[in-house]
Amino acid sequence: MTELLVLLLMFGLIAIGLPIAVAILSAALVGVFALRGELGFYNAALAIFDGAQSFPLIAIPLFILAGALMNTGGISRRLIAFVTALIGFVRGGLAMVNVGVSLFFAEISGSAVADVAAIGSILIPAMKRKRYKARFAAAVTSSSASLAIIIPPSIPMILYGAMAETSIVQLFVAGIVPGLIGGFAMMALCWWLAVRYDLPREDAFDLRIVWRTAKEAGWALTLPLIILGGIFGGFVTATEGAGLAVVAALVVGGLIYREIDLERLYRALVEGVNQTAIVMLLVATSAVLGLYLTETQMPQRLAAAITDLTTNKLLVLMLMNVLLLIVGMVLHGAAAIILTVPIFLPLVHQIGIDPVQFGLILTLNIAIGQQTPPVASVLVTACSIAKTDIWKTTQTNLPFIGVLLVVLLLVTYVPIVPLGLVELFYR
Amino acid sequence: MRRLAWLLDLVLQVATIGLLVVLAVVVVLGVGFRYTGNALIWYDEVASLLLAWITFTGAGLAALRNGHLAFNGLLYAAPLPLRRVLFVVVEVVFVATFAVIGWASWAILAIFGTETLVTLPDITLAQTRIVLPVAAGVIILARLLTLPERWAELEAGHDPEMKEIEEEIARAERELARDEEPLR
Repeated sequence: MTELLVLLLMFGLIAIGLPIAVAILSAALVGVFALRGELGFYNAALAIFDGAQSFPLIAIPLFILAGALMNTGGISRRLIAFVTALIGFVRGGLAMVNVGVSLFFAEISGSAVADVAAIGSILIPAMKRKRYKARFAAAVTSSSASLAIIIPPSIPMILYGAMAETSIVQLFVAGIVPGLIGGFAMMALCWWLAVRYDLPREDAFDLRIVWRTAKEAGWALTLPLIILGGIFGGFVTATEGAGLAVVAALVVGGLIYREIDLERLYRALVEGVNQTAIVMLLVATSAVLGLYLTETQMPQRLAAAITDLTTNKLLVLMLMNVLLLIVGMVLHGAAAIILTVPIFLPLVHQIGIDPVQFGLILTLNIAIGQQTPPVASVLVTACSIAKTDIWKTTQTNLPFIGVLLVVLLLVTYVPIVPLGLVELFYR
Repeated sequence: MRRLAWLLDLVLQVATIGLLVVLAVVVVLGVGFRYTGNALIWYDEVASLLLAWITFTGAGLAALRNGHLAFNGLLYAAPLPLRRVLFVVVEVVFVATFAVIGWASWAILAIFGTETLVTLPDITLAQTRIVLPVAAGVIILARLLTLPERWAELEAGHDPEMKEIEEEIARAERELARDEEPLR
């Protein structure tokens, strides 16, 4: 009963506007004090520090910094120009470019809002100039940015991996097939909508422009290869890959493109520490909640109560999907992961769901939740750039949300989709 | 008050950026040394500690910039008198929470005695963990320093989430304006 009150207190404090990390910490402090008195506070002080010094999470500040450097170093811009020259001539091509670029760059800097602002402010005005409807441009940007949650490198995946003590590299690999399915499905949808709305064919294919942009983007193209190739090839860990990403972004953006001056470097660093601290304070405070939940065995009892009702995996997965979707609708990505992992993980183990597969189910649910109000900061950002109404955009966004839901169902009920490559290379 | 906030922001920026740069250097050095067959024994322990230091000093900076994730939808939908009451409740809970953590983390420093890091025996655990009580104090100070500004926004009904979105878009547009024609 006390556990329920503690959780209610936490959600109540979140609802009245207390920062989520602080709401988690205050409710957990009440819980540990109820259990152990003053000693509970001392344990909490130990747990919050230990929660912040998790080695796998070191990848977070480094990827965040690399993302900020790529955004300011002209790297994202050159990649966008190259991909546009390459496939911009296809009907709906610019929308497809948007999907492709968002898949890689969104979720890289730790702030979904900052990523969508960086990508959207280039592509949304360009789409509008090509007579795409503003709400269509906003919908494509928003939903493809959400799909990026499962495409490496993704901060939410790193968070989940560290919290669930699951291989981050395997999570990254597991995201590839569903990410590609979702990406291609969204591109196909863009083409179909472009034909339906009779959007004009864009610029003709011009090999000279492709060559010029390819030369300019050449170094930028090596970055994903270095980062992902190094991690997937087993040459470096996810954390080390993130360190290399920082060096590569600095060299390419600073020395080769010469676009990272001291001012931009300083701003990227400030952005990096700020976003890191926001995510990491959530992680640290959730360690205190974890301490409380472990002592009370509440997640284990919840898992037992559910498995008493049914041990049908499909049914339990469906129940989890519904609950996680609701959580994703009312909480930001990182906060939603941090709150749900400790509660759901014992159930996941008990009914025999692969934790890598669950990582994808969890993050995708949260991504879909981010497409709907009340918490829809990605959608709101895209709409603000496109200067369009959220509700009208949501109507246009429905087919894209449909794609996300199909990917979620595939990941949930066809385990080979997320786990095929993992089984092939790592098990 | 504004000058103090500016000064604190500057100090925290210098501290956190310094720590982040050191962390990046340590990780890159760690990879390099591992590949040359001379793995650094202190790499894991020091890198993890640096992350904790970045977390807590950065949390002070984020508090000063109102950056911590929050759900303000209900608060800003409430009528003004209720909004004011909830605001006060939120501030009291915020300060009380970090006061407890600050006090408890200070009190446990003595427990560590002369215990040291495993790989760097010259550094005591208490020295590494002192950042938490200090950061708790800084976070409280940062919250109090931003109180007048947040109160004014509450009175005016400006949702901080929309403010963040507007700032990010403006920043991205400034970046673009500095560059040449973005596409072609």
